[in-house]
Amino acid sequence: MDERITEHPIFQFDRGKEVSFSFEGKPIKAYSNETIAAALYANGLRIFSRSMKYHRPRGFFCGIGRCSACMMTVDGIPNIRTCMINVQDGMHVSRQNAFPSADHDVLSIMDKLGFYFSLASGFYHRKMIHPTFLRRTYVKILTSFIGLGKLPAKESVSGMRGSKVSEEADVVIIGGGPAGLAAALEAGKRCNKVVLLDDKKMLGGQLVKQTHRFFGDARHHAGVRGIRIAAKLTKQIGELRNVSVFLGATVFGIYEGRTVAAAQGDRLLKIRGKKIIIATGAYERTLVFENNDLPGVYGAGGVQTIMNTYAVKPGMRALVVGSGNVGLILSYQLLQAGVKVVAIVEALPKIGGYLVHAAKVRRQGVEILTSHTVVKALGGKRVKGAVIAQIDDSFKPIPGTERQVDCDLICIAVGLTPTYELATQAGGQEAFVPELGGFVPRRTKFMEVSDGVYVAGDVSGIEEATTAMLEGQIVGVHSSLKLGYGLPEDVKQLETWVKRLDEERSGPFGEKIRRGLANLIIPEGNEIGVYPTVS
Amino acid sequence: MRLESIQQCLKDGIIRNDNLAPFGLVPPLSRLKEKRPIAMIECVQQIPCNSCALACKLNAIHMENVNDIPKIDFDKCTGCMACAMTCPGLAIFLLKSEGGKGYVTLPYEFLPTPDVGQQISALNREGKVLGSGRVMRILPPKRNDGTALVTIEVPEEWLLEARAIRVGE
Repeated sequence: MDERITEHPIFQFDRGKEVSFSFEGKPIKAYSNETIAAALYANGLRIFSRSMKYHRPRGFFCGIGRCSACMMTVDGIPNIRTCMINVQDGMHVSRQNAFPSADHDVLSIMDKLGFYFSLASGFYHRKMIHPTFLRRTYVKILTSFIGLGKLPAKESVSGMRGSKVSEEADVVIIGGGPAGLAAALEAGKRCNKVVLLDDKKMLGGQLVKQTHRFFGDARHHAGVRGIRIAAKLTKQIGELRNVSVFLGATVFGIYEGRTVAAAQGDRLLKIRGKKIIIATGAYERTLVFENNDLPGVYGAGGVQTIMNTYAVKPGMRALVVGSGNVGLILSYQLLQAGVKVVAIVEALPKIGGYLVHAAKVRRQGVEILTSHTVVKALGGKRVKGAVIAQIDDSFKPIPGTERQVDCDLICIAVGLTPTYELATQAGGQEAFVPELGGFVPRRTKFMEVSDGVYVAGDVSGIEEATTAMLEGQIVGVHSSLKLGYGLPEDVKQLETWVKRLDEERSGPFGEKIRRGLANLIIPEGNEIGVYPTVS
Repeated sequence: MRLESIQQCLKDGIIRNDNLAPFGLVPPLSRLKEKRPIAMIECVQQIPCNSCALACKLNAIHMENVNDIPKIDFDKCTGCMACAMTCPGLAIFLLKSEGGKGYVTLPYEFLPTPDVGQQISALNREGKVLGSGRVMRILPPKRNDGTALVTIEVPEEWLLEARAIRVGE
């Protein structure tokens, strides 16, 4: 079974050279530019792990190292996110905490036991405590069924020797997506030293899977495909010799004195920045319905990653949940990859995304069912269908309207939520703004959240890549000016970009964003750190 | 009227001719019969995008600001395809009527790429097959970053209906 896409109307994927690795004893053919997860998916694997406690089968969900559903043991090291690292010749990969295998896991009885005792999670803490002298034994046995991976054997870690890198920079940028790249470019043109960190192996953030043409101002990438923008910005960054890029580096904290700490393999990076720009993007949201953890229920972004970044066909027949731009664009991209889209369901009575995107899939015969939702995913170990139903004004399924659809893929496109945690840790104050996707850091007009710490892009509120790039440019220039770099005309440039950002948001689609931002921006004159309360 | 049109489209994603008319986006019949093709822009929402207006070298597409709905001057438009080549919404079509036949140029981003002369199925805005048409001309995908512009010949009455094609079965 090989589900690699060999021909695509928009892009060509350079797979690199052929390699072979061992997966639970079986040799797997793969290519050096594929991640372990992509190679396994292409070879037909759907159960990537078993859940920690009830051993329910779990698939690939996000594809960008956020959801942890694809963690496996790689060369003896447990809990490796297989969507984040590339395959290497001779690698040993196996799934963990399942017996005898993740495909047929007898421990999944744990999932059934709860029903048997008709009890909620953690039943054994209350039931299996008698007789008292056996309690310890019960716990010992039961806990051995639970958990994530086994500690690595001594020999597999003996060769590892951690090292430390300390650096100083004018501006440290966390995240190499559209906002981070734009910020790095502007700061790089002005400052002496800029450091850009990203946890992926390539720059571009989510642009690398956006095969469609972008909307926006024609003077600013409109009509250009996301993948081309990523390539262009990455190339421009490469040309700036004062910008150091660290890839595969996960930032785990911002410490005193604006020290950014990141783990890059077995290396610790400590980078002190005079200014820090947080451009960490967003997480995908999921939706509550029966069996929503079944392999085959994936985040829209995850599907885009496997399909558009690694050129692997995600399934044969897809149900898309959500008709925002992400859901509509994904549906179109699925069609381009040769996947049939059985329907798009939307809970609201109207389509959420741009009409032109909707029209694009509609004229290919894809039905968009407004006031509909997915009630249930069908299947035991992988999605074999779904039940959808019409819903009433209070979003409750209307009895009698349920119908079964035949699909092997359910793509959840119900929105994103900002990855705001680092901003809070760095002294920012978050506010809950549903219009912007959830918790977002409060900031000034120039996106400063605390002294010398900025945010840009989706982390500051869910919007589009176009606005993310504008925000990146603004913070890149503003931070440079604050450090005494740049030219006098940069002040004017800054105002132009702020104006353009306002213009982008001035239409009806920006209404929600404007409402969200109204309470969020710290008024000029207020000291950062002194926050007016949210009413 | 305009608002109602949009509300109607948002229920099922189909932008019908009736919904386009209040925006002045449906070219008059007399103009369709002229020698030069005419662009029909099926974009009725205020979205932040002005790629068509800036691509038009003849200033035939007018927008007040980036969020404005494009207004097309049917007299200025020569059907040069510059707007259709760049439109990220793939919402621009070129129409021409000649000798009782309709000629629709539409964006196409799927595989396989049809050949000139090939019979294809013409689809309407709902994706329903209208019948068969013939490929007359093609701007190859590689000349326009993946978006081919395919000109098909269909019966004249489908000019305002045929909006997609299916190649092979």
